[in-house]
Amino acid sequence: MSLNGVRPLALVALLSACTQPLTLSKDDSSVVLAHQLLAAPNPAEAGPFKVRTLTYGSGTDKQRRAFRDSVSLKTTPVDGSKLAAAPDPKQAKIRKSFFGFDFSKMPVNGRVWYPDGEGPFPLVLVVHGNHDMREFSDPGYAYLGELLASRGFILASVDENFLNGFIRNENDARGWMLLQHLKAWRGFNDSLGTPFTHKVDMQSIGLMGHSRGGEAVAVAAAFNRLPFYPDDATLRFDFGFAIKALVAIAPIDGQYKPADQPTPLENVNYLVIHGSHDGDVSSFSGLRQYERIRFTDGKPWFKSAVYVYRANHGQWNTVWGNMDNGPRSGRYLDLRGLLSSKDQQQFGKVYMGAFLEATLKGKREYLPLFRDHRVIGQWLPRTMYVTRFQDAGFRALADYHEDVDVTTGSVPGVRIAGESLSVWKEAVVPMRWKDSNFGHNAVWLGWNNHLAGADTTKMGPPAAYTVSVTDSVRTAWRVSAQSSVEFSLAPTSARPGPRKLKEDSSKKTASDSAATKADVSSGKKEAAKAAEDTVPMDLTIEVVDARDVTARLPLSQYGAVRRPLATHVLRRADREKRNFASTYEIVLQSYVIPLADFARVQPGFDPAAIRTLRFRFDRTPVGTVILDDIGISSLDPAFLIAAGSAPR
Amino acid sequence: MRRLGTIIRLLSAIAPALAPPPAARAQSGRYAPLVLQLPASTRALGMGNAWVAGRDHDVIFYNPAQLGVGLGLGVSVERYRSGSTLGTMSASTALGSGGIGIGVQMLDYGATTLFPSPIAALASEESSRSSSTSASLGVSTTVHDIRAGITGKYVEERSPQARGGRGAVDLGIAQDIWRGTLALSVQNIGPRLRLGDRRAPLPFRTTLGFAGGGLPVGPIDLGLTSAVSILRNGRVNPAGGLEAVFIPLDGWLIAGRVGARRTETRGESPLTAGASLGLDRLTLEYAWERIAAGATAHRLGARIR
Repeated sequence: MSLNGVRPLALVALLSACTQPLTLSKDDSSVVLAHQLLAAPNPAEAGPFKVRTLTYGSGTDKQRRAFRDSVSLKTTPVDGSKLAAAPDPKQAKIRKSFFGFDFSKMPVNGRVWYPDGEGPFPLVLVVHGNHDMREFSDPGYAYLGELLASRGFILASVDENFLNGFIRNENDARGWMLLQHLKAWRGFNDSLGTPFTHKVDMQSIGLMGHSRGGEAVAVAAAFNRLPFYPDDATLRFDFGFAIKALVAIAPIDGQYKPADQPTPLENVNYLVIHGSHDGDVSSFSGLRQYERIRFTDGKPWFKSAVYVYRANHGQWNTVWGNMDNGPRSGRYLDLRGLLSSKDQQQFGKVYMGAFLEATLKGKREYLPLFRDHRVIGQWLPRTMYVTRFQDAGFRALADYHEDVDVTTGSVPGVRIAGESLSVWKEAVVPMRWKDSNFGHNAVWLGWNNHLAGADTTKMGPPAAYTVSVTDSVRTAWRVSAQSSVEFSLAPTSARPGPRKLKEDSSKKTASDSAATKADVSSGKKEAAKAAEDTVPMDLTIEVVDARDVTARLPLSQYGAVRRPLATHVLRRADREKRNFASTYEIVLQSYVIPLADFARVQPGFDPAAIRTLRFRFDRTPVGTVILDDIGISSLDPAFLIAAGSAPR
Repeated sequence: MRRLGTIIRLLSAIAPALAPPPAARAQSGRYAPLVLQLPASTRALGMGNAWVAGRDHDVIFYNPAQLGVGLGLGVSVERYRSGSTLGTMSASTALGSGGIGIGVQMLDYGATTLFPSPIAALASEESSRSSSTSASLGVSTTVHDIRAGITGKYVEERSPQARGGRGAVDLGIAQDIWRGTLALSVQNIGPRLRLGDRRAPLPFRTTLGFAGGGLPVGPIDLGLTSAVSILRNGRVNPAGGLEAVFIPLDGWLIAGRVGARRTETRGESPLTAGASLGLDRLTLEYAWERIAAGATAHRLGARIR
């Protein structure tokens, strides 16, 4: 071969050596998604309505005809100068030159897809996040607009491109703008002679947001109930809209903190979705908002979080595409493992469509998929998912927030005990982002049922973790055969060493395993490499009633029990290691086990008299799990259709 | 790539217009020291030495206002003929709202009895007996989006018979506009340099230029740089260049450059070319030029960001 032929080959070989091999977790979707147990119509399929479109706005837009000459409804710009500011005068000048206005005259522009029908129809706003301000992001949700309008929703994609570009700390303005749009919609609905006169169901409002917009929907929901702007009370709020549903798509969290506190949220249905291979928001930061949502008014709210393996940041918006950090980001982002945009959007249509159907139209037949994605195997693209779920009926026995005593639960009188555990400690759950965490604690439990010594086949009694349920709890929570045990759990790949004889795990024994420590302190995780476990995991959930009747069920019957999914978003392994704390995100899977199922396998068991909930680590001899939000729920039976009947 | 070919052909076509007029063929030079009249940056040389609006560690040799914009440390060496070698070292780092930088240029060249030494002396095959040196320290700051900088330097010329040194100053301003930088510098402000009983003016020049980059063309990012210098004697020297950068993988960089400049002496080519290979923080540079008497010179450089 000539030298000319060798040189390109050498370059390719050198580049290949520097680019890390494509590393993906083994796909189990052929098993996990093997069944379709929900009989409802596919929410990703077009509905019966003919779809109409229009735009509303200032009518003076400098860049886009759609918001200049073509607006069907004119709106008045709003003064957002108390909520947003350009980072410097130069940027202010550039922005004003491009848009023709500053933050004191922000236009209320939107693209609308709506059903051709009498209505009234639920109203959904969707808002984009940060992107190149010159590449307008609002048309990128047309696929959702077409779908939802055909199914009887009005969808408005909100123009907030003027808040894009080089700007920070503006997410309060993004949220506030959504409420300004709702004000405009109230006007469209109340005024005579508009295409929406009396056609908008202002009692059924949903907000959806992507990226920074994903945080903005939470900000909007919080502002919606406040009398004043928290950071400047000279700005009065008078919203009070009936916002019932929030969808956060790959959101950030904490860019805006009202009064320097994480945005509090309560009494609203919340769905957050996030891709594992998000090249922009590379950690599931929406889980922080998920954790903060509280249900306090007794209404049937719920929250669900779905982690989508191999989905990225931009493909939720057709304008953004697969380059999560701009057109040149393919130089460093590894795009090989990504889902296709079609598949990613298909997932979005299924989950967002079902969520809006369930929360704004009361179609309860869709509720099970927010608890367990396995029930819709035929609707979902073939990849892996992790689902977090909690409903308003949930009461925590142990959520690891209340104190630093590992033997006490979250309710007075609830006791916790560990038996033969190698690892038992409570700690904050770390994020994949360096030096970041999810803002909530969980318990790490590690075990090795093998006994130390020459005989490696010798096993001790299975390790266990036990939570007591007191009489007062059972009474106060009205525990019955209709109640369910709920918890969230994620196995890790750490393997504690063989059990020492006479080991006493009733005390905190975290020091026994350097490997498991690695999962908590991400900086040391490499130490765990030598002992990483890849054997499929399972364990037994055991309940005991007041008469000492014991019933057991395998956890895997109620959801996939998977170790963290391998995530490499960058082409270079050294950059991946430098930029992230780990090559996976710890996302706990929620499990809901009806107490009636225990009674079914052990007929003498009395669910109303449950005294003990025990995690028995008897199906996998060695392992470590992270466990959180253990409790009992008086779950709406609509969530439980097909529960437990899906195979692993 | 076809566009690049077109650009090279265009530059070749205009090259004769950039050739020196017959009047420029003087036996001795006009200015001293010689080192201040030579390209000081490998990257810049590949683009016609038009670097007044450049962004690199070696901007101290072109415009102090750009100090702190491109950070790093670099060295370069250019071999003209067996008797002439130029070496440079420079560094720039951020400091407050501006930057600070240092630079040293050292030229050893064949002995000549002429003072000021002509650039043609670089084509000498004689062993090095003369030298020309410059040592610079500069700072910059930013006021209302305009960067301003000043460089103080000590320059020296040595011949086998004598040695003369002098202090000098460079001034510069720059502002980022439209994907690039517009910059102006006034260089080599100072009294005449004296060598023995002969005196020669410093190569005072005023240069205005623009440089921009990051223009995507397929997988390539294009950059351009341009400059127009007015010398002490009123001579106007235009120069410009293009840079095509391909980044196959984050941290890797392959760049090709081509440039043109108005030449000082017959036999010197107006065209220059260069290339670089970047591996994370290290970049290896190469540039080519044809100097007086048709001698070809190669320059190598390395920089660490």
